[in-house]
Amino acid sequence: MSHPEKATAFLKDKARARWHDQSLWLVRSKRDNAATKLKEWEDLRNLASQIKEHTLSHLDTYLSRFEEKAMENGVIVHWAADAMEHNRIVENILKKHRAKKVVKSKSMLTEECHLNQHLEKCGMEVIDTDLGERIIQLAKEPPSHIVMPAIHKKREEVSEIFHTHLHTEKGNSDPLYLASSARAHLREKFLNADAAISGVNYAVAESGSVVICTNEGNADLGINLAKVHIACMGIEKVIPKTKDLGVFLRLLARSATGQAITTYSSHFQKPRDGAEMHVVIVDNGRSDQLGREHYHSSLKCIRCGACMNTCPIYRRSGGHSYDYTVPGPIGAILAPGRDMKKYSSLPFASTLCGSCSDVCPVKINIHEQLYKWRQDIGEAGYSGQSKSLLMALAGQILSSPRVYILLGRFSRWTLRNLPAFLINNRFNTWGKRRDLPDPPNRSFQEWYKKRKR
Amino acid sequence: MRSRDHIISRIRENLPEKKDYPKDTAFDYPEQLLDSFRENLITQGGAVVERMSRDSLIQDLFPGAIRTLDLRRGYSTPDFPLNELEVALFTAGFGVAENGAIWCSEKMLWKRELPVIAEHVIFVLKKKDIVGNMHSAYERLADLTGYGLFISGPSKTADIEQSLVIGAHGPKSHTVVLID
Repeated sequence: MSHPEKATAFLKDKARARWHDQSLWLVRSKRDNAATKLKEWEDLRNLASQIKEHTLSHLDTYLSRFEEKAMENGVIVHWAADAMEHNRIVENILKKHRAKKVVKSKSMLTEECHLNQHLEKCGMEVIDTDLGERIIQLAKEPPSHIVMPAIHKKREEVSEIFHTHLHTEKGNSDPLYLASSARAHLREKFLNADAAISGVNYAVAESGSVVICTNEGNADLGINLAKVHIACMGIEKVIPKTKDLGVFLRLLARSATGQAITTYSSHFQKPRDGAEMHVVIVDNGRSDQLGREHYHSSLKCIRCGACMNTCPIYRRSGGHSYDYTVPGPIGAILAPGRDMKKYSSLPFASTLCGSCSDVCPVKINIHEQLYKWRQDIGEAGYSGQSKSLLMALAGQILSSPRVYILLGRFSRWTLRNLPAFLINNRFNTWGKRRDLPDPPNRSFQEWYKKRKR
Repeated sequence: MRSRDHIISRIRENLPEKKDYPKDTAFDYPEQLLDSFRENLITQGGAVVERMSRDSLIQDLFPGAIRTLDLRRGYSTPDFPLNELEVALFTAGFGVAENGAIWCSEKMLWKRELPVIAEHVIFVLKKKDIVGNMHSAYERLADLTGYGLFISGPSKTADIEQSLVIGAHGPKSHTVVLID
């Protein structure tokens, strides 16, 4: 199904769609409050963008340095060309340690690779410990937002899910009660886990360390209680120096939720005594994106979610409408790189308002890339038959002044004289939700000619 | 060809145009370090207490707490499982004014899970050890040690309908005791 089809389904429940829209907009406004408090906000964005651009243009060097330093610290480094290899590497590490119970903190990369399903097939229990992730894991749904995975769920729905799976009181939807129940349930998982899997917010080349940011502390609890830590990262997560963290940590939480910093910003450099730390570096199409002249800067992304919070389309269609691990504007410029045909509707799910580019902490020109993807998708013939036909027709009309004038006269006559039910036919998608304007009596050309005399 | 070599060579084939590492930029930070630190910590859900004396902090702040640990005294064998730790007291490495965070290094943790597994945490911080912003913080962190973290408040989540809940998986309260 394409984005428009899924979005239509989402919008059927008008009240719910409005609630979703308002929830996301609230997060966007929190971001604004935080950003305006720092007069150096734009300087920080420039700096972050430059650091990332520099890193991407020297990515081989920085990844090698990161590996070298990590290994010196006693960290075991693995490389995975694609999702399948990533999953197999993680499986093998877990099997080697006879790990059956695994806890996992948030990692969009592991979502992308469908790691949970793979490990479950191997007979392992994988528990997502971020509360939002746990909710959707129990609901058997994918996350709908990269920072707030359960933003589409109302408290009553969470209550139902917890009642079914955690045996909480039926009908009790008090967030404190539900979160406390989850705390007890997940604490037991943390204490009994054989291994902890995590994502990576930043991999520092200079020191070989991995930085993970959470508000809940679930990454720290999971990792520090288990004997094995497996940190999974995309190749684009590496940054050159420790001091670069100063820039990124000032931007990340403010952009994501409007907080000055997350509750926990944890630096993992060495495994503790008696424990093992692994890092899996994953390509899975990223080196291809690196080579795309117009799209490689999408790899600067620090996964803050600000673009989703501001996007009028995302807010009113929800993350599931994108049908891709990372939804929203950033998802719409990453996904076509993986499968242009399957994700061809995503760059068109946009008004090109540019708000995403405005809020992006690393200054990715998202709206320009959306536009460029449309052109590439059109040229490849994936923009859908109706669009291709319309574009061809429009080309004919606009290149012939006579046809254009005649058509204009006909349209004005039609709008003035035909009854509404004929105008609002099924070909008039624009008119589905909008009233067409009152037609003027004359075209601009006619008016101008008369005026001149 | 090993995956590593394959990935590195693919990256090399696809490297974008070379861009320089940006020049260093100096940033301002809040003038009133102490006030900013206090304000930002409270915004994040933390508590601030000002004290002259460093004694009997745990008993004063959490009277009645039984399973407690004072990490300032180094390693001690608790007579209860760490999962039941009610209150833990640490020395903060330093504080950051712009966000109310404190640095907690592995050097004071004989078990890495201590600052997150405890039900309540207290950090003692010298007022003069508050730096302005994260840039200053990283200048101070010459050696990261095996594990270290910035903590800016109690554990929290807003994952249930954007409703803020304090005490997600970790501490339900986070108190910084400011001393001279």
